[in-house]
Amino acid sequence: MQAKIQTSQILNLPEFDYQTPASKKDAVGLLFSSGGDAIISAGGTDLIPNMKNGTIKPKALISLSRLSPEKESITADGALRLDALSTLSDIAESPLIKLKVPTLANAAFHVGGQQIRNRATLGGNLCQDTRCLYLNQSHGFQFVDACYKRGGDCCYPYPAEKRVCRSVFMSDTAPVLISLGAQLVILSNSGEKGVDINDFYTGDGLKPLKLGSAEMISAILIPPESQKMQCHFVKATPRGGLEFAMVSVAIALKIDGPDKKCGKARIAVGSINTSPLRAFKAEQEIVGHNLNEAIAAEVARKVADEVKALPHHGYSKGYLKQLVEVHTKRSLTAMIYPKEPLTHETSD
Amino acid sequence: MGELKLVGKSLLRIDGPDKTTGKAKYTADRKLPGMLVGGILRSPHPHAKILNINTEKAEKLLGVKAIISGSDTRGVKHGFVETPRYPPDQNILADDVVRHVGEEIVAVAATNYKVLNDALNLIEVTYEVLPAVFDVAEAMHPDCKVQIHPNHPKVKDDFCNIAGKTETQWGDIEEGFKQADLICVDRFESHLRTHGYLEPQTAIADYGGDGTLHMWISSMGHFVKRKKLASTLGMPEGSIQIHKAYVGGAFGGKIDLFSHEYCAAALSIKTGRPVKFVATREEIFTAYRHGQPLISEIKTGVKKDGTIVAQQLRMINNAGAYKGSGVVVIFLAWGFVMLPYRVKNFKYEGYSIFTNNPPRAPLRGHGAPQVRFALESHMDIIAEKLKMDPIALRLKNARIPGEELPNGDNVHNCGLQACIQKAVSKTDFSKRRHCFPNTEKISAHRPIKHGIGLGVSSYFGGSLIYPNSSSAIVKMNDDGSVDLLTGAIELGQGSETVLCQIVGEELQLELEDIRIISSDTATTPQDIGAWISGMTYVTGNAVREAAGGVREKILQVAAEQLNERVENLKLENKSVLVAADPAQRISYRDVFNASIANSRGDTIIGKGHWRTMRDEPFHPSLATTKGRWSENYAFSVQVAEVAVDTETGEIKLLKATTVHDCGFPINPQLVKGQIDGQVSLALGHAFMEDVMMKNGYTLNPTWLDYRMPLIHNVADSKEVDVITESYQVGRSFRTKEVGEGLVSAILAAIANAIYDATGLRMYTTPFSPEKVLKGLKLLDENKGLR
Repeated sequence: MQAKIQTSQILNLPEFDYQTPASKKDAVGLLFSSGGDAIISAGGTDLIPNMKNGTIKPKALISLSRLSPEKESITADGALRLDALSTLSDIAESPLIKLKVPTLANAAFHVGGQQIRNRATLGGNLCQDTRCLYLNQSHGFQFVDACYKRGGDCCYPYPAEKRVCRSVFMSDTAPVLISLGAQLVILSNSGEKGVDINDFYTGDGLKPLKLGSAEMISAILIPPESQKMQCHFVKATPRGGLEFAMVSVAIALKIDGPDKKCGKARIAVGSINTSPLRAFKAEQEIVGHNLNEAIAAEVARKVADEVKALPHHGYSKGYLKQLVEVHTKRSLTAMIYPKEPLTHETSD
Repeated sequence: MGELKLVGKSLLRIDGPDKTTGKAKYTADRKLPGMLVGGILRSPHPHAKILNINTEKAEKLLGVKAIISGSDTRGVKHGFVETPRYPPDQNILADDVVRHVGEEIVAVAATNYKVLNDALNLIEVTYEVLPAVFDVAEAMHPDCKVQIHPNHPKVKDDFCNIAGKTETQWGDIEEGFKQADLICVDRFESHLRTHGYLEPQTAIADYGGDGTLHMWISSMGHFVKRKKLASTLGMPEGSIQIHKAYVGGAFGGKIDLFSHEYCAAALSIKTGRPVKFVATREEIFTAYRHGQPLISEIKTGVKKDGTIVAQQLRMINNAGAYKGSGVVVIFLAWGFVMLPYRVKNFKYEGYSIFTNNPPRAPLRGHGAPQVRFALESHMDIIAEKLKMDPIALRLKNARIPGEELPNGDNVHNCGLQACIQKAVSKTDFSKRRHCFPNTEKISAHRPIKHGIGLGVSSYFGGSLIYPNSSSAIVKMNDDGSVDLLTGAIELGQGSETVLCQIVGEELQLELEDIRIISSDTATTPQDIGAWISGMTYVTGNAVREAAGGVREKILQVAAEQLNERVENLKLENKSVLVAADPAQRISYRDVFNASIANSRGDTIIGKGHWRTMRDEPFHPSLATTKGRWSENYAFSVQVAEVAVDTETGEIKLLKATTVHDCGFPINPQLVKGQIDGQVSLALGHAFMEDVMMKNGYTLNPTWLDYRMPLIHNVADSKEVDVITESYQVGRSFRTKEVGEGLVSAILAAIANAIYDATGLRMYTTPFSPEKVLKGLKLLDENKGLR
């Protein structure tokens, strides 16, 4: 028997309990005692629409609305520490972040519109749910058989397959933080632990985060060596704003000397699969080379071959692969020849 | 009277302050005491038989006040077209079969949305799912197993699911092709788009104790709505009053009757309480009407010198599950083909085909953008094959002033030749075409190619369709100010401002001295509505006549009072004065009092009415195109300058130049607003807007995923008005269409510009990056470059 989705005339929020703890510690305490039925609400910009559409049905919301984020700071060992509760506006506008890791400010600035960025938090952006054309609608009367992610077992984009979810993870800040080698500080009842952001995403569209039901991201640490790397971020969208990416590419390179030798590289691609993907092999290929246009083109091709794209939001696999290649090539070229104007803009 | 005072001036919109400060009231803003909320249970299947509907559980729910289903509305039919050939075919609520996803089945009125949702979920409908067809080629194939409706009885072609057919011809098509030096055959296809009006579909009905059904509806013409409500509800028109509310955009999508409007009325009658329906955006995207996807198959024969000697066309429209406006668009398409160019021998067939998609509505241009995209791309293809300048080809065949059209209409002061010449000189077109440097050589990182293209279009202004005419009343107040009573509806186009400018000009008043009372079926006269591109012309002339009536009365009274002949008087500053001796004057206030005193209480009221083509009995035949269509055609030429990113397939419309013959602009700024709006609408059509459908279901029913242009996508838009008419106080005027024809040529211009930039010919819309990239790759492969 298929689960049926309820018809909804207007998008009402379902009923839920609501708590506003006074500290992050209290919040994870409440998460723990809820036994997995509660969910953290920070900005709510992803959560509330999903609740209205019925893709998430928590019994309780633990709202962090009473908490204020700590200001971004440099730790004793030189890491840049960002409170997960910082809003994307905070991140986009912070002079320290713009100075140390401008690509993160850039990525934060490219999320949604100003109102969204004023509420949405960095932690929330990293924990946002995956997206799919079929999943992100209210299902008033079409697609009423629940798909796998909604509690049923069908998959509309892949009708031949059961019990799979290939919805796409579309955070803009995640690929940037991967390129920056960030560490996530995860808070639970048993205290804090550090998790490499590379290990935070499962690659499963059904449950994309490796985050326990009583855990939350408390802070993000960007190591000092990353702050010295050259970075680049590009978000390709059909309209150039106010929407999720077709493809995003975040690159951090250590470029040394007049020969532009690459000492270290991290390349991450977002919005093309169930998690952000890192092009480990292509990174290896670039390290040790003197960078030039030919290398950029070659590496871009390798990145596009390495990261596997899932068709999403009407874009075919082949097109997304092409976009990954073009935007990687253009990003690398812009980084190698930094004085030239950015090349990913189509304006004349 | 010499120089114009208000007309021809870019005066500020009179609805501007209300709208920009949020004071403007739209239907959804209205709350009435005891008001219920209504909702509709819709079909989850594209094609199914309804075996049973059980509303018992929902009826027992506390707060549910009334429920109606197909058994309550059986036999009540409505349709966009209601003629003997095309009788109404849509049910208010489904009777036995649903034919598209989202079709209306049950309507509920409840005390609040929570109860309403619960009630809708408690209704049990049992279906037998039937096979469905969505693709137009499959649906019309003679072997198609799915019959959505029986074929139209008068159409004998061996196709399935024919909703309607338009055919016409003149000359001798066979002979024409024999004379041709070149015959060119092309096929173009346009995709499914939707209107994207911001204000949702909304209706409030209040059947009060006064025996009148009061309604507030987001509409494009209250008199058409009233007519259709009256015929479906079985009430006299006079018992229905549709009140004024601002309308937040429509673009063609709010013309005919919608189920929710009837249901609001029926549920209010049943409960005796006001009932409000507000459609959700998902409902609008999935279950309401979209535009018209159209296939254009064109065969053209030309002489070496470019003269078109024969043209044969077949247009196929995917109409959706009911006729909707599908049977109209195949008629209109013929007109959009024949307007700009002379064709001696011509044959046209248009088919409208049923599929299990939601029915269609007009969408700004109603077929013109699809048709002109095809024809103007085709013209460029022909020019290239003839090795002829595309401008010369167009000038060779373009209509000239005074030409009679095949349907008996006349183009009168047609400015097409002038438009083409001005567009070419304004954009330096001939020099710049194919003259952009290959930018790859300049910067290896910027593989952007530039191109320029041009398109031509024409559009009718006003036509004969219910209610066929507009009337207006202007009445004077004691202080000399006036009230204008007009049925014209303000839906963003600026009708109220334009009509007040006309009144002001005729009476030499400032806009502040004119109060407009509009779009209320009980207190204002009939009006054609804002949907056949004729409001400024038809209603404008009615208003001019009404104001003229007041002017004549004022002059007559003043002449008596001043003891002077009428022709020696002039109006100025709410007074009548002797032109040769301005000291001799009488104020409007005194004129008003004198009129009451001396003309047996005449309070000075002017009436006016206007109808296009006074001698023509009906609108032209949808089947044969016979009959006249309009007495004023607008012509336009648009030039697009694009930049194509050959690595990502992204295209940017850098600049749009519109040169158009709009007759005479009553308010140039509003004309400019229409142009800019249409350019950005066409830009969405060209590059991003696409209703993604699969098996009758809509995949992107949200603003996020149905991508309309954002402010930074909007192109630089420049225009030149080619003025072919004039405005004179006391004389009828001929303004030409400016509200929807300009979405068309620019679409073709963009396609031609893409070709100019890259050599890639676009045969289908949209020109999405993915499609462009695929096309460019194919071109490279064919050139042996890869």
